[in-house]
Amino acid sequence: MTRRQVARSALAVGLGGSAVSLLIGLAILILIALTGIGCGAYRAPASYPQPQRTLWYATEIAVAVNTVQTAAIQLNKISVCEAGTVITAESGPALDIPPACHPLLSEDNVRAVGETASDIRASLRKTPEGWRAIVATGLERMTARLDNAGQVKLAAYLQAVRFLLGSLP
Amino acid sequence: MNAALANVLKAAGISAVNAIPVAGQLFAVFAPIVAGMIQKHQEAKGIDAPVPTVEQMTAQFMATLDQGDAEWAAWVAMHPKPPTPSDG
Repeated sequence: MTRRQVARSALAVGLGGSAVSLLIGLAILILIALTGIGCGAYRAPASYPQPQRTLWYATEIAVAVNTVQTAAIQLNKISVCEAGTVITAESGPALDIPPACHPLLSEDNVRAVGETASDIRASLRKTPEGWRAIVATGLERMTARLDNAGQVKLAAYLQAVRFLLGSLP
Repeated sequence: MNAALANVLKAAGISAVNAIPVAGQLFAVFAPIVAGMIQKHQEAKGIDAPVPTVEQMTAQFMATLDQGDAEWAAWVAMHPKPPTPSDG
């Protein structure tokens, strides 16, 4: 997990010209994050007393929830267009049908993620020490609100948060 | 020992003259990696890192929550919910 790898993935995200480069960039970021977690990078400094440790972990998990929300919003900005269809009438000129375009992630799915993330943050604000239960319950609710396409497209992001949740002590 | 090392370097096509830039390149590649590992180790152990106060960490935590809320509010402002049939 070097700075160069982070820079490369950030560059891929920054290019943003195509959905593929964005997805590859985000996937690399997740891979790097998971590698970091696997290496035990997500541990509060040993010198921190308990109140600071709790806030450190609550902040980490809040960042993860924000990241899912950001991913959903960014995926919604990507427009996917089907190939244009050409229909030829028997007694007339060729008729070009403009390509049908739709966002990679629907607004309904973004709303499901954003509203649930907002609820999670409201609960965290009240009781930061309950971060584990709050986020676990919130993630389940978020997943249940997504349709099938949303669950597939956001699976890696949701899995990353679950993984983080399980790896934090 | 020095002669053996010289033979190895010679066999690899590295002379005394170009060994310096090669060493420099190796240092340039590995130094940031080692520095990063040391920094991570120090952070994990809390060496040279003053423990922030609860107030400081609370402020950072709240700022993270505020950032997420602001991002969501901005998206909602640009994507108003379509009215439901009961709204008329």
